[in-house]
This record gives sequence, C-alpha cells and structure tokens, in this order.
Amino acid sequence: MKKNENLYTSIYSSLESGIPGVLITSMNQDNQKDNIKFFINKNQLVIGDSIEDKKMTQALKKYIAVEIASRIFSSVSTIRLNKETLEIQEYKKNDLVSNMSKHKDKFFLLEYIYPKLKLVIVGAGHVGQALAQIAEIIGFEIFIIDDRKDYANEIRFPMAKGIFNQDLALSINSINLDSLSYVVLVSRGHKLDEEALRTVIDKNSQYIGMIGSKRRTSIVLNSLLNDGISAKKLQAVHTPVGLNLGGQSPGEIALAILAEIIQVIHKGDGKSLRLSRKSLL
Amino acid sequence: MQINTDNNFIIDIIKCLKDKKSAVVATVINTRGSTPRKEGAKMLIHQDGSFSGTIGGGCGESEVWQKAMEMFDSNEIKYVSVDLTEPIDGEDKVCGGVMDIMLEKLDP
Repeated sequence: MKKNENLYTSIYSSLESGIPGVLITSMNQDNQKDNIKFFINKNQLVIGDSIEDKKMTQALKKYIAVEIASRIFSSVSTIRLNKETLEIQEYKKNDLVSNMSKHKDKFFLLEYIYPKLKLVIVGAGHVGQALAQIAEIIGFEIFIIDDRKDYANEIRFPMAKGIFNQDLALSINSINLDSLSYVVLVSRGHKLDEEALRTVIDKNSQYIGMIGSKRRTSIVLNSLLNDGISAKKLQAVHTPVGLNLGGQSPGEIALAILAEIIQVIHKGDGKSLRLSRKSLL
Repeated sequence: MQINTDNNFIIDIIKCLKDKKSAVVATVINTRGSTPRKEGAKMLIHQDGSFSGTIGGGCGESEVWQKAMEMFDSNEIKYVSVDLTEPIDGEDKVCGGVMDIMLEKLDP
C-alpha cells in the first residue's frame, strides 16, 4: 500500500499548482482488501490504482471531465456505474450503505477536491490583520498587499502565503486571481481602495469587498461608473462591506466581512438560525 | 450540493505517511436528517488515539473514533452508520439524523 503516499503527494502537488481533481474510491469491494483508490485531475491525469476494466476508466474520466467543469468548490458525490452499459448515475438515496452490497453496479465515492480558497487582503492595518487571523482559522490561503513594510511583514502576518510590498497594481498583478479568489479592500485610505478596485474589477474573482461608509463608497462606485466601468460589475461589489452585525472594532469588522464571504460561498441567508425555529408564542 | 471548504486533510495524511504512521481516515459519505457535518467531512484518527479534523464532534464522533481504533489490526474498509437520533423523554426520535461513514485504514 505504499502507493498511497504517492497518491496523496500527487493530489497535493496538483492542488498546489491550482489544478482541482477528483479522488475516486471504489466502495463495494467484493474482497474488502481490494480498495481501489485513484485521482483524476482536471488535466485528465490519472494517479493511483487502476480499475481492471479500461472502458470503465474511460467512462469515469468522461463523466468527471464534465462534472469538474461545472463545480467550483470541494464537494462529494456517490455514483453508480453499470458494468455493462457503462452508464453513470449520481446515487442520492439514503439506503446507500445497505444497498451497495446487493447491487451489481459499481459504486464509487467521488471527492471533488479544489485548491484552497484565496483571501487577498489589500491593506495590512488593523482590519487587515484581524482578517488574516480569522481567515487562517477558516482555512484560507492568505495574501497581503501593502507598500508599508512596517505593516505588511512576516512578523505581523506569519500565516500569509504571500506578502507584496510593491506598488498596488503591480502587487495585485503578481497574484493569480481566479474563481477561488476573494478580495477585500481595507487599505489606509479611500483613494487607495479606489485604485485597488479599478485594478481588480476587471479581473477574475468570486468576491470583491471594499470597506467604507455608504456615502464614501457610493462616491467611489459612481466615479468608476463615470469612467465607463460596467454597472453590472460595480453592482456586484460588496460595499459597504460585511454582514450587518453591528460591531465596531477591527476584530468585529473582520468577522463581519468573513461572515459575508462565508455566506457567499455557501449561499446562506445570513439570518439567525433561531428564526427558522417554530415560535413558542 | 454540499460545499466542503476544509481540505487540510491531505496535508495531514501526507504527514502521516511520511512519518510512517498508520492512521484511519473517516469520511462522511451520506447523511439523512440534521447532522452536524455533511458529505465530505473528514477526520484522521491516529494509532495513539489522537485525531485531526472533525466529522461533527460529540457522541457520534467518539463512536467513530472507537470503531477506528478497532481497525488498526485489520486492513479493510468499514462502513458505519452513526445514529444521532436520541429519544427525548420516551417521545419519538426527533433530535437529529443519521450519518454513514466510510473508514479506511491508511498504511504507510
């Protein structure tokens, strides 16, 4: 079973290079020792055990290529593969475990594994630092941008994957922003936040949040609108930033921002769960 | 679709394999009703009883931990169902759901 180490190391390096993939585990082993496990990444690279049947592997590869393109986050599904027709169906029934052994079909667990979500923080001040501290616990890959080396350094940001001290646009351009990226603009001044917004708005990202009051942020948005930036894109910017938790301190603001990001990721409604409970009155 | 945003387990698994330590990987593969974690949540249980990650904590997790500890002298995949529906005052089971968990032994 030494191959396991290669398997997981390969998954790790695939994710490190930003390439998602699927870890496939065959679930209904006739012989329980026969635990087939392999990984197919987005580039169709296969690592790990091979299924004896080449056609089955091909069918799985085809299915995964389609599925992986339509997902953006890590998730799990169970599929059943008909050995004769090679037809693949997602299996959602609750009797999974009890049915597996009775079925002739092959069952596979597919774990779609995506690289870590990136949190790009523009501004290494109080809120920026609090954001990085909370985001580390949540599990983001953290990038810090600030030209002030006294603020943006490894002592204040030991959890950062990258710290960029160059000119704003240059720093932003050195990070590969993609659909897994969440950008928060919390720099020392509105002018800088505006400049950062101009740089990131046309780039790929899943979320852009910018700190500021209702009045101030609407001035910024209108100024960008006047410069011809699409209203649709500007409308999607999360500003004023964060969920309305009422907090004031840097830590509270950071929490409200990350709460909003988590809400965006999981499509939650941000309401207190207590409200979903039946009233006692 | 359930989104799983913690995939630190790969690093934990690699570390285990590199250190030549055996471990059991517990993965939630199916849930019904209210459960603390959904499909894809993982926990790594080490031979010394320590663990990383969580499949939901509490009683359910300790049940899985117990089953995992029994797996170190075998070499197989095991499926366990954890029932989180506890009767309240003899009433119907209303509290929670059921999680199906796949346990796999990791051999360095």
